[in-house]
Amino acid sequence: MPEASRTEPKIRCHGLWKVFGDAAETACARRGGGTAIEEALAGTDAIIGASDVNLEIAPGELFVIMGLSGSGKSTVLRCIAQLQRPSAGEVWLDDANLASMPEAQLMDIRRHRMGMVFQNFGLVPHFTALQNIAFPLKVRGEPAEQCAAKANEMLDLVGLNGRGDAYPSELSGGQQQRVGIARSLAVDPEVWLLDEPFSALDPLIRKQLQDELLELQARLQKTILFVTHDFSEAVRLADRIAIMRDGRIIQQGRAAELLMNPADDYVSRFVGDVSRLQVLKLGDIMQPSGRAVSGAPKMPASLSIEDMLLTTGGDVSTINVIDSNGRVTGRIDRAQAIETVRNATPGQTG
Amino acid sequence: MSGATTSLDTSLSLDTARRAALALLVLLGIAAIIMPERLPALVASPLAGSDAIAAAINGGIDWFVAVFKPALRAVAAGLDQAVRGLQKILHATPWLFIVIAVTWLAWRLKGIGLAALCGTAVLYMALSGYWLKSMNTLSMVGVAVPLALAVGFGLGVLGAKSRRANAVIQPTLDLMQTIPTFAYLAPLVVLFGFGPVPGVLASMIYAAPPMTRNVLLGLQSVPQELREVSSMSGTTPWQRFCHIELPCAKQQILVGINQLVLASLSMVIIAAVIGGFDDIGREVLVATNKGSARFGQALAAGIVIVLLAVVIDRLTRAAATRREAVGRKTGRRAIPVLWQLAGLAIVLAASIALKTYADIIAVASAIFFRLGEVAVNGWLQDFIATHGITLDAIKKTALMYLLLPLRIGLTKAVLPITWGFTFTPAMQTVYLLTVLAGTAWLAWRGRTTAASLLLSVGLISYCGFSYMPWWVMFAGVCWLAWRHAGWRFALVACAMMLAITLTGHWQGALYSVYLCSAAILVCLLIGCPLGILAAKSDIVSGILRPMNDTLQSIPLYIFLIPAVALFQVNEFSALVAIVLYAIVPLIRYTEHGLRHVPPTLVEAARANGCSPLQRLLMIELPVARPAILLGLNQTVLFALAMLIIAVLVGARGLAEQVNIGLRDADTGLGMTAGLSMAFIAIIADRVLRGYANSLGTTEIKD
Repeated sequence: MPEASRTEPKIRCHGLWKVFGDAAETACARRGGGTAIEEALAGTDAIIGASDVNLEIAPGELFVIMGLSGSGKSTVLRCIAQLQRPSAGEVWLDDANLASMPEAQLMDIRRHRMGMVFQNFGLVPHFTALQNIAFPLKVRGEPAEQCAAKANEMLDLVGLNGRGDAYPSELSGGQQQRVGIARSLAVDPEVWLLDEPFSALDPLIRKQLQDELLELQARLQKTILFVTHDFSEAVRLADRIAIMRDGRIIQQGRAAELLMNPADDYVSRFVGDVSRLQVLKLGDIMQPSGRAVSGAPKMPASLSIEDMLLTTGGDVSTINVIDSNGRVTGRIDRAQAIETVRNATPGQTG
Repeated sequence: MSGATTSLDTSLSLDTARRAALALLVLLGIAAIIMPERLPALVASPLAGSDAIAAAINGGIDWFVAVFKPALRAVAAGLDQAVRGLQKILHATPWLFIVIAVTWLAWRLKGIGLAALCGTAVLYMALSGYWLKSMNTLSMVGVAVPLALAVGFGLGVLGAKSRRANAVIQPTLDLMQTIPTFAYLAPLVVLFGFGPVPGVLASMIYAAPPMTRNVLLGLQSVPQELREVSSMSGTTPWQRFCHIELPCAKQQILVGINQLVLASLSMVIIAAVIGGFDDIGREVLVATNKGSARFGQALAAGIVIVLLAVVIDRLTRAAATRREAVGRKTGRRAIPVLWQLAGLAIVLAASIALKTYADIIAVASAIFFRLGEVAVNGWLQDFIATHGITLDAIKKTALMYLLLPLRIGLTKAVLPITWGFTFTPAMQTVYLLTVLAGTAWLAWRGRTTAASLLLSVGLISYCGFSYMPWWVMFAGVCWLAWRHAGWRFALVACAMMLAITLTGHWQGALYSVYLCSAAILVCLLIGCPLGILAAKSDIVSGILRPMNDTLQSIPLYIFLIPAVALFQVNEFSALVAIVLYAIVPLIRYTEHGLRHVPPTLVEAARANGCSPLQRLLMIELPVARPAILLGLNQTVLFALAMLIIAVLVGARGLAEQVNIGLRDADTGLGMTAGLSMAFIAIIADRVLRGYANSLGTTEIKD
């Protein structure tokens, strides 16, 4: 993780375990961590939610945990939020270990530094949209006018102005989740946790909200942990992705890294569903070189290969790749690019 | 490999041994039932009951009273003051005002229909001459309800918050609801003396459990996601309780309040047996005991109780279902609170000014009512004189062909003077062989449930509950408990039966089981067909539903009135009263079960060419069986609850013992007999529920 190591991570999980069942919990607590726990759990009928999870999320990064149902992805998110206390391991938020923090202190952190969006929206049925959004502000004791002003501001942010007095039952699914998003952002949190926020929505609404999430993130620059079971959603949104199965993280990295080097068959089966031409960017397959090829067109490293192919004709053989500052960082041979993509496709690589 | 074979062998031989033991047990039981004279060793009871436990309880209570006398007296005096204070206020309030206020409240809560119903009901109370007695009852309810509310709510919250507390609360609630109501009146009288206080406290004990259950249910069904939302919003536990959990559970809690108030009224009415507070329940009780001679009075006063219950039920239910919380515009214009209060004040002032006239009207109309009562009495006596033979025939038929055989067995019930012939040994042999052959055939066909049902019904009718060898009963109940509720509960059931035996209540228990079984049999024969009719016809359903609603909300006493008026005081009247009350859940659940058969199944049956009757027998009834069984479970519990009241009109057994305990202030006797009844109820409940669950689960909410 070269990007993450440059700055101090915002969130860091180290040797995180979550097992269910009282006997298993105590067995876990007695052992230090790592393989010792596996030995302790062997033979018991413990249900393992998360096993030895390690991850780091940099400030401002959008990190996605992806896995099928029962893979432990929501458990990891809940352990980070401390809605479920981990059986073993550490969860660091900056320089504080949440796993060993008393409930009172956690309450304070949730009131000021964390926001969470829920799969089924989690709107309180007897509150209006505005009351729902103002709820986290109200419980931390802010005066009523201030709550109302901030809630209205949030309502505008998610594009729901005018619907503030509606009850959740009067809103559509997409509108309800906008209220959920507004509420999670009301306390202006540093860490934003989203637990399958768009899974309960129709595909069109889902895509729309994904776009809005990216727009919001461009403006707000939160540290985001996003959980989903939809690999294409993960690819659309993520800076980095972790793929989970049976409580373990199988592989983590940028979408292109997963695509080019899937760790095992399980990962490559997911990866097979998305279009390489869209996911792979010029920067992923270029040959680094500081020298521009004269006469060749310049294209940004963040451009997808598909766009490159669509905008260039067969007469172009080489492309100069430039970074966001316009500096040339490498070059791509157009024919070679197509060959690379074909080789990265599972089933054809052999 | 060899290890596996051996274990298979042992398990096989164990299975064979178990079967052999079971078969031997069944054979021995049959032998003991068929020829008790030849096998005295098999039928003699080695366990003699004693009243040592009852005496110990009495001693404990005496000690408690002696030690805590000042505290008990203080509590009693405080509650007495409260009841009498409320009584004074209610007596002083002009009846005209209460009629108008209740009508207005009903109108605000629901609309013109409810207003008309409630207004008429309260007007009837005022004009029938039972106003002051009704107000006495209300003042007891008025004190009991807030107490039960506080206790019920507190226990519910405690149970929802702490798993350990819940583990204690649940069985306590079961016990509180299954111990017959009379049983705890006795110790309350000993502790707090006569007067309204024992009634109020009994009412609190009886009314708190439904509240607790609903609070628990409401709090436990708050969605997990909302709890997480609350945590992530950084709420303190108290904030979470006030802002999220309580509002979410509100609807269920309001249902609980409705049940609480009704239960409270029911218990206050029942508590009239201890007397000492001139309330409407007492009036009904005294008139009922006079039989057909005072039927008119019993009816007029009984109607007051029914109306009281109906008004309370509909008002609290209307308040519970009102959807003001969601802020819907109801279309009705809101009247400012100040105006409403002013209006009420004007009405109050007017009714005070008109009090004299109103009271004169009430007195005059009461005289008319008394004349009416006398006329009704005359009419009933005429009716009995002309139809006495028919009524007697009904009663005799039921006694001879249902009650007697169940109680003392066909061998003793079939006599020339009853059935017109002698049950000769040859006939007995044929009967037994038929039963055994039928059982064997069913068992061979693999229908073990049907086989065991036939065997037990056949044998019980043969020897009667009273002559059932004790160990056969023990073994049978333990086997049922083990089959349907697990071996742990089988042990508990065994301990419970042992306790019943050791306190000397075994024969009484057999009698109670007998009378309840007879009532349940009748309920099944009438209730299931009615339920099927209601499921098939919206008209029948439309007629039965309000009747059932009313039957379920009125206090148990009322069921005695028609039974006694028509059949005097005897076992059959008790049976009639029990059936009237206990049949309701069976009808309801049968209808519910049949109406909720998955439509795809019905369509599949149609597509396969089933006739309506085939569809009912082969698809709908089997699918509805779990629901019907749950209804049967309710019926059993209702029958046991009614048994204790039915003792006033001729039931005997445990219920009689409880009643004697109450009459003689013999707490030990009352409590041991009452607990025995509770044990019977708990065993029946667990076994039937276990059986229903094993057939498949159905969600039924009241």
